[in-house]
Amino acid sequence: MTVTTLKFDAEIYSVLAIEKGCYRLSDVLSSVIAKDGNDFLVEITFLGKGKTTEGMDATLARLKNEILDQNLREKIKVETAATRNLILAYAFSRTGLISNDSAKVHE
Amino acid sequence: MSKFHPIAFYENPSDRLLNPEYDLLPFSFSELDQARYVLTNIAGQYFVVSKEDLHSFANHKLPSTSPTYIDLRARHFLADSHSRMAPDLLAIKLRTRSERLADFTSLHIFVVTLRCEHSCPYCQVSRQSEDKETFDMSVSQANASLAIAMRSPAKNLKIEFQGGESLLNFELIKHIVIEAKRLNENAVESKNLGFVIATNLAIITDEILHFCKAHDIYISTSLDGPKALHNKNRPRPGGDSYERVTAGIDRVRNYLGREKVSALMTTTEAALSQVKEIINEYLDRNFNGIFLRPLSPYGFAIKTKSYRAYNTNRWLDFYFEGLEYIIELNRQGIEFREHYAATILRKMLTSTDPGYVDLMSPAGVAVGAIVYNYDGSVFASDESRMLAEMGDQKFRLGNVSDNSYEEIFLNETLLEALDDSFAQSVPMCTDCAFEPFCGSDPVFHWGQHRDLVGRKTESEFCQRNMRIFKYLIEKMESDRFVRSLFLKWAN
Repeated sequence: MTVTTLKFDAEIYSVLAIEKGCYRLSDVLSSVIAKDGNDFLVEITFLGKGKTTEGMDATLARLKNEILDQNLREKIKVETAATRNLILAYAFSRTGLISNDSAKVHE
Repeated sequence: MSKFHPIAFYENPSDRLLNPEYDLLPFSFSELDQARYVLTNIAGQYFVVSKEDLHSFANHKLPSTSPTYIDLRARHFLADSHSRMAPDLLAIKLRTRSERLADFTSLHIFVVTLRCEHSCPYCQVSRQSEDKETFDMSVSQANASLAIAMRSPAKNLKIEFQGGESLLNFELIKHIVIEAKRLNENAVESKNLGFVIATNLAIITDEILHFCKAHDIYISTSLDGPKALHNKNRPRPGGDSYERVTAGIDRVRNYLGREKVSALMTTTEAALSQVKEIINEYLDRNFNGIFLRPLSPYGFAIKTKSYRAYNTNRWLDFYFEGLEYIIELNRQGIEFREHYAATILRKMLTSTDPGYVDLMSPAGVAVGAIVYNYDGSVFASDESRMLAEMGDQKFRLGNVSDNSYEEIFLNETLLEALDDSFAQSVPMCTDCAFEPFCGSDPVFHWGQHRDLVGRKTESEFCQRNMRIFKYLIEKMESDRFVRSLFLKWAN
């Protein structure tokens, strides 16, 4: 069984981004994520057909790009959280879907 | 506050160039191809950018002079000193898209009988032979179902009669229509009632047409394509299903009007090589569009292995070949549309949710449609009762004779399915730029994976819809004629 390990700097990558990236490719690989000092180590096992060297290289490249995308998504999500909540609150403010009780809980 | 910029905005453009600061507004992004990404904002508006522009934009390095910056501002992906209204506008659009949630269950499906004189191998509802009266809905069950239907908050209620062959129990259809109208007249708040009979039209009579005319009833039928294909797909005694349905379509049009009859096709393995012929059949029959539908994994479609006769990729080849042909027809001046694409385009290009059950989040089960089965059982969707006919009662919400409206709509299974089907909180969907156009189908995923959410990397629902979303966007990005055609389909 072919196993490869990738290393990600924990200062730069969030564990959530790495998890999401691995999940997105879970039809072609399985993964175990561990912390090693200032790094995340991702142990990857290739599944199914794409086990040729070329197939594995392409899958690893996809995974790295995917984790990079996920990291950017996390950043955007944090940066836009306040605006997103504002928009959602305004969007549903007059629908009657928010009960007084639930509003009190969030006060 | 004006939606127009003040004159000062245009007087000294260099001031604006020196002030490139902007705030990101909430958005998602997904890869369209190796070089481009699709961005969607919180209200579901999309925009395509290069990978480089995405990174510049997200890192606040996009120059305010670039055309991409101006487009992103116009479509509410960023707010700067000249666009402070953007969050308010996004909120209004988001609210419009979500309006249907508060106005729920507009479609009520009455399975008046499971009997059918056809024996289609792909039948998804496991029809019963014609002489089994035990498979008819009773009057008391119909009345109890109506009482539940009339309690729906939706202002517009559509009652659809399905089977089996629904017209084999036409007496009950008549009763339900008349009783529904009577209840509506006596209601404190009356509703806009509409009726549809789903029928193969093989046994339509003048008496039925007369009743339909008197009560403004629409007809929905099945037409799978040219004669040989249709009769192969839909066997019946005499082998004359095609002759009967085409004659029936003509009779309905002559009696009720052209717009009163619509038709649906189902893609079998035999249909895969005949998409143009199928579309031509619809053109010859003067339909203004077609719904190219894959088989669903339920009922006889599973038993007879019809569902596994082709995979998602093969169906997508068929679908895209059909769409290309339809686009070419339009280029030649022949107006014709594909209804599934038109439904998605409405979600992509307008703020209105078309309310298509399979493309709703939370799922359309019970929120969009509910099914009263011939035996009084209530199901969360048409697919739920198909699953039940295969022995899986997961989505049975109760029985009209034993359970109240509250017990049915607060059923734990239903609440669990709705809770789990918020695409915004499903792995992968939560970050997907196509999520505003998509939906979740807990019944499909339960049937396929025994899980209400399913793993999206293995989901045929996800694969099929993602490919269609990307195809539609790529076509609009590369062909101005197609963009204008798709805008027309969306509106």
